[in-house]
Amino acid sequence: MKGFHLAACLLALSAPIPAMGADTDWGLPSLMASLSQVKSASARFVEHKSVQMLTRPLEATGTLTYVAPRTMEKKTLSPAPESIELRGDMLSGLRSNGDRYSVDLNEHPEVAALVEGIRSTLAGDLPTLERYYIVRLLGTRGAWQLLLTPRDESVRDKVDVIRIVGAGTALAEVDIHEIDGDHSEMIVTPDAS
Amino acid sequence: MTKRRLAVMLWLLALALSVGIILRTPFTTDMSAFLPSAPEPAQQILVDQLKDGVASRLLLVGIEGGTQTARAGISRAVAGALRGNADFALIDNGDGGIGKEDQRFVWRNRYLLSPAVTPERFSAAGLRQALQQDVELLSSGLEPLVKGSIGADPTGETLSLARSLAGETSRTIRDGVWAAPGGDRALILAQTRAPGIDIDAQERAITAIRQAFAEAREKIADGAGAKLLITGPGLFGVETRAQMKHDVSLYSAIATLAIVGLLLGLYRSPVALGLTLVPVVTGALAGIAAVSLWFGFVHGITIGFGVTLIGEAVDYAIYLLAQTSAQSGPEATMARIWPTLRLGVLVSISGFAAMLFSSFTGFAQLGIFTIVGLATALCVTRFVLPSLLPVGFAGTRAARFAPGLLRLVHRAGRLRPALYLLTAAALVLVVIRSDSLWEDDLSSMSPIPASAQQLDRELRHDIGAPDVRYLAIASAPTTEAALRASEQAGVLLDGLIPSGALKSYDAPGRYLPSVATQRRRQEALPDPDLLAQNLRSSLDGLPFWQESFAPFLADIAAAKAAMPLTRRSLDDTALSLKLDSLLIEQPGRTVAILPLHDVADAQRIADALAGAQGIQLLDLKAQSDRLLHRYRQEALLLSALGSAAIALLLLAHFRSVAQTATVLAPLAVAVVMTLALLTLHGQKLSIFNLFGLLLVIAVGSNYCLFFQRRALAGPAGERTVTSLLLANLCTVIGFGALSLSGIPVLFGIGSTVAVGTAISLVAAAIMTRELDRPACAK
Repeated sequence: MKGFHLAACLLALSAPIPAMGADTDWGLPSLMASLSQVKSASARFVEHKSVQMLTRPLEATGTLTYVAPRTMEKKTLSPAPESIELRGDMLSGLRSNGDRYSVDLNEHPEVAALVEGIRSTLAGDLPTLERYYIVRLLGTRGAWQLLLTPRDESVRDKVDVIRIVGAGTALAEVDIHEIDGDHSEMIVTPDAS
Repeated sequence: MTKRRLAVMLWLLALALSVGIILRTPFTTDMSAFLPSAPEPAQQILVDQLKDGVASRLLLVGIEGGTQTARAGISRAVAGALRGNADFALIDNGDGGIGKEDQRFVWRNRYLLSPAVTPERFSAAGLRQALQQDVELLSSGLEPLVKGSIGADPTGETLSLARSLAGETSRTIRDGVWAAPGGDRALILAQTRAPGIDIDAQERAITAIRQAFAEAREKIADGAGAKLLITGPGLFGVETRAQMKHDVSLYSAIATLAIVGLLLGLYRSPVALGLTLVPVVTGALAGIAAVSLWFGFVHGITIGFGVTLIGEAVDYAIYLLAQTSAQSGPEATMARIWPTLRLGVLVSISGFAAMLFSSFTGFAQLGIFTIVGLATALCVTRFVLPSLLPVGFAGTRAARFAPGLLRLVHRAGRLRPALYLLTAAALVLVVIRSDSLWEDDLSSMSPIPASAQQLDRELRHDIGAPDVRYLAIASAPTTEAALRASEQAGVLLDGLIPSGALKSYDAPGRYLPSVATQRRRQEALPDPDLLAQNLRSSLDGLPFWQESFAPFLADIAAAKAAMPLTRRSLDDTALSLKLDSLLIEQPGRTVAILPLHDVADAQRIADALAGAQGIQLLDLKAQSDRLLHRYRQEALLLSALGSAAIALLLLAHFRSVAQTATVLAPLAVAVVMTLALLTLHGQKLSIFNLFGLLLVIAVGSNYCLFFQRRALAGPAGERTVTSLLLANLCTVIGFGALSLSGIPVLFGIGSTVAVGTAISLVAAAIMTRELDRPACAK
């Protein structure tokens, strides 16, 4: 009951996007505007997770889907099949042993922060993103990264920084660094659509 | 003259004495006086729950309208204000304080609370299975939720406990406070310290909620659009009482005005009007004093209904005043009507005396009140009233219609065949409908409007406090024994869930297991050395650092040595509220209650539980129906006893079956026709109608007796029929006004008495054979 934060691992990606304006105009607003054009996307992922209490990192693989603006699903295929889905404010999952669970984001502000970090990025929803995080953008249109630092104290106690790496409107990697040293890196490969 | 003065002195003395007693009398509005005093044990549980159960103390509050943020702000402000109010035991608006207390309690006591604690679970094999699951959890999407607790709780007791408790209290949270599943209503659950039956305390609590809401709405931005909803047994009690007060005062005011107008029009003398009220007021005061002396307290409802019941004492004065002419004087009138009046009052008293035998304190009080009240009113009419009349008083000076009325009465006999035919038709109707004559649905007798019942259902659904119909009850002399029995019942119920006989149940043992069960769980936990050894061998080949589980070893050692949990351990948690509703301690007895959900096969559950000692299945609907049935059976029996007493009295007086029958026949006609009319009107009968009928017999018998007197001719006869019509008009107006009320009890008694007495007057006029004589002689 202690580590009541959730689901950093929800994630997604996107497809290539039509040409943009000149690079001099490029910045957070235009990145977000272009991301908001993406209506749906799917990808495969490979995730490496380092947890303090474990002697070695865990690896998981599976698929991710995103449907604008508020639905995401993460399906794990290995090491054990499971799925977790976000619809609106409800996070619901099916475990490999058949157990179902659901979490209301309104009840868990820390979980909501983690989830919105990724969902608002995918949706290109800058106001929501900035409500939860101090947002910094590095790089260029062709290779950028967003650094998200939590604003809320209770989230800052758990999460150090979230790094989202992308190219154009496609996500390539989502890293989460936690205060206790645990971290996960998820490499995302968009499906050709 | 001295005798008269003595009577007046005695009367004044009695008045003073009564008032003196009344001033010292404690009055109560505690409705339990109208719940049976010695029902069956199963019904006792129901009655106790109604009176004092936690459910009766709950007020469900909703905040609607405005923005979500405004609703949440108001919810927090209201909860904050109410938490500082000593009338409330608990305020739960989901804003965290209490939820965290509960989480801490479950986390700290997980090894005593979890049913999964067995020796196998902490063996090397059991731990290995749990740890393999943990690896899977850490690689899954649940990792952030579980990684903080795996080191202390690798077997996941907290997670499974939280899930099983959440099943009972799954909540939606919006802006940090509890909200309805749709999110458009903020919810607060308030538990009062006083029982739901204490209407004054409930009214105080509700006023405090309304006030806190009004203040919060002023303070919170955008709060103006918010609306407050309250429901719960306490609110129903308060609103019913307020409605009752409103209806009774409104309709009695209407009736009083109408009656005063009528009497003034006839007497043309305010003095006479005042005198008419002297016997009934004296009777009421004496009645209250008598109840106070006998019971030590008086119920508010006793006075309310009692005054209605002795309302016929107004008739006594009317008979005397309306039949007195300037020539003969009141003494002569009294001498003439005294035998009939005395018999009439005795008849009424024998009818009401049946209530003395009721097992409901409230009805027994009504019995004493009416008997003393009527007897006093009679004595005052006989011995005091004539002295108070001004010299030369004539009751109805200008009753120009009186001769015509008497002629009408004399010709009424012609209608006899028609009346018999109608009565026969009414009887057939009543017999045909006899199966569906009675109201069996308690809720349709409820004074609560349908819209309030709908709101109650909605808020209950939102808050997750549905009305439960089936309970398994485990009763034992001690709390520990009751908890053990409830755990035994739980085992039996678990066996029935797979078959679908029920879906789930709640039990006190989930929040407070019996000491025996806690000890068994403690014994199931291995010693520190053995546990460390088991853990070491179970970790072989798994990717965990063994050091990560140091908190686990420490917590198990602590749990093994812990003192067993008691009720006090749950203080400050919302779970204690739950436990209080499921574990009821009484002197010498504790009752554990297991509410059953989605029961499909009650018979199978009853059969399964029948094998266990001290455990039974309770069907609340069946029990409340039986309670209702009991009320009705008792009312029927008492009515029958009352009627029999009246018949015997008349028989003793007349020493003639024929003459007794002459008096009773119009009453029987009135009862049958009233029943038929009520049925035709679509009304189902309740005990309220039954008491109404008893009143019809008590009042109507007076009409029959007066009609039976032979000298119903000339000016005296004219005055008699005028006084009867007047008395009946007053009764019809008084009770007819009550029947305008939407409250079932007032409507039931009001309509029955108004219709019934009118019919008995007409029937008495038509059927009394003695009336033929003067008409024939003419």
